[in-house]
Amino acid sequence: MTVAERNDIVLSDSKVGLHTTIVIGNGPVGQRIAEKLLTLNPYHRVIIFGEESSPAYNRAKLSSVLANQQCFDSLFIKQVPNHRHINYLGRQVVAIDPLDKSVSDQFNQKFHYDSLVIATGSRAKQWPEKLPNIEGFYYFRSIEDLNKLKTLRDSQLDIAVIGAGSLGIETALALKTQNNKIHVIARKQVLGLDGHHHAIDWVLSSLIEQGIHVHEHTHIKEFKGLTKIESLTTYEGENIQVDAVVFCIGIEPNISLTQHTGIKTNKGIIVNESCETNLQNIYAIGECCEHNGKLIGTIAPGLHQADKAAESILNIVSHPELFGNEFNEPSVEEIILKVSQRHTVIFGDPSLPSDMHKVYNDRKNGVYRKLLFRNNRLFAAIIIGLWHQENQVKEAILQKSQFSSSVLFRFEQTGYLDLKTTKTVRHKPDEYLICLCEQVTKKQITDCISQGNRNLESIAENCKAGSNCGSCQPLILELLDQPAENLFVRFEQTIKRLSIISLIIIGFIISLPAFKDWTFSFESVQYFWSDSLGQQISGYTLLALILIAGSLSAKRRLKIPSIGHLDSWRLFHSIIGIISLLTLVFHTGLSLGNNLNFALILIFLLATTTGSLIGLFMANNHHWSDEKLRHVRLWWTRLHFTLLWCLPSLLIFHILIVYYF
Amino acid sequence: MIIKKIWPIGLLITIISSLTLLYHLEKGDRLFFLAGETTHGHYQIELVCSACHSEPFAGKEAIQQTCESCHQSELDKVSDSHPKKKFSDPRFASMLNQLDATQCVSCHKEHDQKHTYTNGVTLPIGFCETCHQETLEERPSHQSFDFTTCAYSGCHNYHDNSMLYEDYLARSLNKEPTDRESRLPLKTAMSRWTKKNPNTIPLSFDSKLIKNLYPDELINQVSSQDLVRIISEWQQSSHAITQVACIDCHQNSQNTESNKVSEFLKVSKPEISACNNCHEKQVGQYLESRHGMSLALGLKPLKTEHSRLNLKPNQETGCIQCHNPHALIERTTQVEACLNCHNDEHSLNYKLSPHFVIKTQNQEPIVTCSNCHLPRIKKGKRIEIGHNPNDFLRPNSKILRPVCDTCHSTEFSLAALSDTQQVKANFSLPQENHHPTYDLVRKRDSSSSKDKESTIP
Repeated sequence: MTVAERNDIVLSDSKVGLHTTIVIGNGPVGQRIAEKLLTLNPYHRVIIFGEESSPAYNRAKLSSVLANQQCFDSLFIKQVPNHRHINYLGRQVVAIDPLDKSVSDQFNQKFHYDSLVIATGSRAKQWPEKLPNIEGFYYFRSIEDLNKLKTLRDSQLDIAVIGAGSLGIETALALKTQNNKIHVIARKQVLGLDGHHHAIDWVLSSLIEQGIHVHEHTHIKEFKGLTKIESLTTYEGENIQVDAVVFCIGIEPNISLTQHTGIKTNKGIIVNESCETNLQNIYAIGECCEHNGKLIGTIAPGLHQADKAAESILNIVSHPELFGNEFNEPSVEEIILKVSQRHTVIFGDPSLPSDMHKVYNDRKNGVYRKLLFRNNRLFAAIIIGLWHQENQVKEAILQKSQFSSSVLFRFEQTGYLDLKTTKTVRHKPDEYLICLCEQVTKKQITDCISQGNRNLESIAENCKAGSNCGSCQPLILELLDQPAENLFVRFEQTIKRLSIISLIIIGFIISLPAFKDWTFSFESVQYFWSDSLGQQISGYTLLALILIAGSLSAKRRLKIPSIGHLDSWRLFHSIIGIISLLTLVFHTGLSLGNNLNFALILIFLLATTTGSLIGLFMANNHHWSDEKLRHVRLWWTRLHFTLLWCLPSLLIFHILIVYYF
Repeated sequence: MIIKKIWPIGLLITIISSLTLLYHLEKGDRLFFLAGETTHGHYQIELVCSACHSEPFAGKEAIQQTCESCHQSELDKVSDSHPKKKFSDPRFASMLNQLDATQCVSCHKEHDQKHTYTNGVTLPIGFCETCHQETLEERPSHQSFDFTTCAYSGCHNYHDNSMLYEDYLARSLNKEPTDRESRLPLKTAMSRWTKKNPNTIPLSFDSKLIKNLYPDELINQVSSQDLVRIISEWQQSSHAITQVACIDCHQNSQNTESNKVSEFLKVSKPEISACNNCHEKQVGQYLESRHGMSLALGLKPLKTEHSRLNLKPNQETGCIQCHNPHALIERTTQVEACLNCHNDEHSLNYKLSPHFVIKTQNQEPIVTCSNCHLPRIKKGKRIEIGHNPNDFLRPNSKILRPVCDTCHSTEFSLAALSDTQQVKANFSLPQENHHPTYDLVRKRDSSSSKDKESTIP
């Protein structure tokens, strides 16, 4: 079948009512919009034009493939075969005719469209001056370039990499062999780290370890050579002998297609919120478009733009809660490098002016962390060496988080941020206690999962986590990637009411005057607080009740799962708590006493108050998947226990002095 | 740091706090073990646990003994209506089962101020009902009364009914409310002393006796104005007449031989023991009183700001706080000394009281604070002055016979004493000569003597 014939088929299909979208550009963004359109609408046809002859691949991975960190196959984007999806590889669209609603390729073939999506991405920035007509100049933007550079590396030639951005450094590192010399020529500083001397020191020393010569603040004057490049000279007076030059001086939007079409451009193609250009039915997404004067340089926002554009083409009213409003969501620029086995991450733009910075520097362990703030808000971070909180820092930059001075002080001391914003258990460190009853850490559970235990039952059997009170089961389910069901505290309504009654009784005990001044007579019950024997009866009853209430703790401690469900014990505990409060009323006759007795009653009332609040809290919050709730409850429980542990000595002496005096 | 287990910390807390408390119990002041506020009678000595709790784990009987050691003589004096020995009668066994009247603490529980009523009683106010239910049947005149009113309306007391029995009350029936001619008995101590020592000349500073004692240094300092005043005051006082010289009071127990004046004045501020040498009986009564009870147990003298009464701050109790040892002016001792501390309504209203307003020819009030609260009691030919105000207070009917009866009819006094507003106003309000108790007394009086109701108080 010839190209013309295939084209006819497309046209005829269009006549029977299929909506045809032409996508120019075969990158991840182009592939994404195609996939989106085809999934959302069964009457849609998508034609993708790819300039390169290789199937769709992710350009961002090129440098890691060059460095042999990833395999060649991992470059390519996996596609689900679809008969409504046509991929033209090695065909370059050369003209757009918005009036005719058609595009033509280099073979002058016309393709009609109902809607057009320009996803041409960006191309490597060209050297601004005219290069001498000699061999040895390379760019690094495509698979073709990748193969050329591989050959170049194999030839063990000395190479100058122009540009010290992340691509420049990555390329330089990838091209370095044992026998060649690599020069990195930086107009200013490596990785745009101007002004951050410590960080520059770190990166430069790592690069030097790798045998890479970095020429900072160096401007090239001239490339010299007869048939191929032999040396380059700089305005700073250096003369560097090289056999090849690789330009990694940045990218620019690939918008040459839009010339003479009436599509408005600035640096990129100007689009609105739905990624539509000034012309109807023509969209632009990815690195080639410009929204609100901003270009994008990373893949994630491009993918969201693809979703937006697809919705617009299909006239789906955008539901932010369904699709997210990510197009407008700010993203964080990030550079992640591995220099000399040293993990180097830069979030945000550290070259922007900052009014405060916090540094943690641990040279011995190869750790350097710098946080940059403007108006007290985190906007950039330089991280050298592994840091498990990297994602949280990125999240904090995204949300322009503020930190208290105590948190920052601890950061400078320890290198860790006490962030409360973490939402999931996955972000917790390995030693984080997930099951409080059985004292099981996250690591123990993840180990248990990797040993093949993939449900709650077998995890409970093998590492005991979640086998007791069960409040941590949602967290374990999260580690298992399973949806968490709601975990109800049984008898929650009763426990809630009992807790409220307890709090009311406690309020009465504190606020009401002693029984003496009451108008009605208490002669029959006053036996319990006025008579010596009566006091002993009420007192020892109270002691017994406290010990019985303590059995809830004992049940946890002794790990006897067979006797009743823990929630039944909780109910029992609440009831005993109320009875002991009532006994206290009769034991004291509502007189709080002084000194030891006052301390005793105060601690007892505080302990019962915290207990009641925990009960109320648990009854109101059925499931414990929320980290924050869990944290709050943990602290209340600790307070409850600490208060209770103050009781034994006071009780012993309270009883002792009755007989002593 | 994550606290993995709380029980070892809890155990540590228990052990450490137990040891601290044990140390406090054995070596400390035991303040922390004071179970509750003590009553108004005991709070001054509450930190001397051993005053009541003689030894550890001594039990009920030992406590009863310490109660009796202080209070039994007082109860005997007023012929206690409910003495302990009364209940050794087997007929009372069933009643003792309900209320153990042989133990002070059955009714006067300590350290439970919140449940304490007037006079340190911790039983609810209707406690008489426990044993006296038959009264309502046997005494028709009492049928309309409630048991809550027995002890709290001024008719009966549990212990001391020495002023409330009917024959006594009947004695002053139809008397004039106030006998304007009556006078307080005159003091006898001084006249008795001069009678015994007829030829003694009062000491003076020029006396050889004084000069011999303090030859040079005291004379060198005579120019000091204070000393001049003090010596002239002393020369006019009864101390000079009764041959009490400086050295008799200003003894320096540590260094008696030192006769350096400056040291002597500074160090030897007289202690109560100095007064005790001559005024043994008065000091004894004083030490039993609220004024001296803390001193009696070796504590520091009570400071007014630590008292529960409404007192002016920064004052202390002690002999010389009321009796200026050099001047010994009666009027100061009897009124101003009291008002120096006592700041309650009754005290502040004294100068409105007819007792103050009616004056003698010498322009001195007839009845002073101490004339009522530290009254002159006839003992044979002698007149003694009480030094324990509590002997005539709580219940205030104690003051009737020794004090009020001197000038007033008992009904008039009883009516005034049972009116709390009148007491607060220091008897400056108009007072009727009528008290409801006397209705009963008159009723009995009019009926024949055969129908006399028994006089069980």
